[in-house]
Amino acid sequence: MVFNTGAALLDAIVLAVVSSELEGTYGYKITQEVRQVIEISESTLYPVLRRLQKDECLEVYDMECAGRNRRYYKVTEKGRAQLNLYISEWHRYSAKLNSIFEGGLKK
Amino acid sequence: MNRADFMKELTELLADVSPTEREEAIQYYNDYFDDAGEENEQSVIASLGSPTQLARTIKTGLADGGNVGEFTEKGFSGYESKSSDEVMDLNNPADAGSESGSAKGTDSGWNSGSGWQQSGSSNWEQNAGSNQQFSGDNNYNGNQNTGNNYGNTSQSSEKKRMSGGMIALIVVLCIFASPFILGIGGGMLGAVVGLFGALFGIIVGIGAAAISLIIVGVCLFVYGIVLLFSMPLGGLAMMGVGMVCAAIGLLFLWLTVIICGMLVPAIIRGIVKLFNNIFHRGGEMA
Repeated sequence: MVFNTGAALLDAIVLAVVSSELEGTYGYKITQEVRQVIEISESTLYPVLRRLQKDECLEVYDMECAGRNRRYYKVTEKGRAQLNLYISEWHRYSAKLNSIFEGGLKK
Repeated sequence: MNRADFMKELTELLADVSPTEREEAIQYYNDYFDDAGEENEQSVIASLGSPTQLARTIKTGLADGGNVGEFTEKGFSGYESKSSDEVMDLNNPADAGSESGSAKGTDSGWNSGSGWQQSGSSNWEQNAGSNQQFSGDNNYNGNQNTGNNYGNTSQSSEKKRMSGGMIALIVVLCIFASPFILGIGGGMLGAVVGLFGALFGIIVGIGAAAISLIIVGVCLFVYGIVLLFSMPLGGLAMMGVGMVCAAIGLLFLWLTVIICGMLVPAIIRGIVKLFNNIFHRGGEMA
């Protein structure tokens, strides 16, 4: 990809991916879904998830699955608020970029 | 290298982080291998990079207060924060708090952290080693500055929220206290009006006393003249008493005129000054 993804944007993507699963989702699945949108290494997401968890944007719980405990991530209220902030900020930002890309040269 | 070796090495490399964090990370990557499935073991290992790199990523994430990610083009962060600032300045200043908060949040990521491997793009992959190095240095420079920006973000937004709440609280308080405030104001106004009334009453009283004394004095004087014919001494005395009465009445009248002419304007000036002070101070407070 030409453009790199900043930490805030990555946070937003991760929060959006996790919040799309009401029951919560797990690390591997989050990674795969994020990787469908942006190119990141598989090692990148753990620190992001851990940080979001520490910031109380995500909460974790363990659920037994196929004879072992799997760690699930779920978006908290704070995480949801943060995601909404990111989304509105993104709309603002992308609208500005679009206006420059599409109309900027005409001036 | 297989999964067991990888995890063993990773565990050893994480020996110097807190047990909680080590277990968290180990569990996460064990989960990860489990969920990827045995058939993907090698590709996961390849994608995760060496245990050393992974351990560094994890540690950087911790040291950073969780801020990870190496973002190679820093100019971008400048643009983004600038655009945010512009939005904040031009559109709605009221939003400034949240805007700057988010802008800060955006900034933080770009400068800090390491181990942001662009595995998908081969260019980046090739550069991974040097990138990593670069990010390492950068990290130590950047960390001091941007270390816990994330915390700041939430703090500043909390602060903003709190000040908004405070304003709302003050408004609500004012609304609830309005009967009280109005009561005090009304009471003070009443007291002033009362004092004014009392003063007015005193003046009217003195004036009435003066007039009645003069009338009584005149009447006594007239009666004294009448009495003079039948009882010369008594009549004279009556005339004298009447004159004294009239004189006292004239004195009172003079007093009334003085009060009305000098004291009342002075008192009114005083009251006006008092009110001015009250309203002035009220204005300063609000």
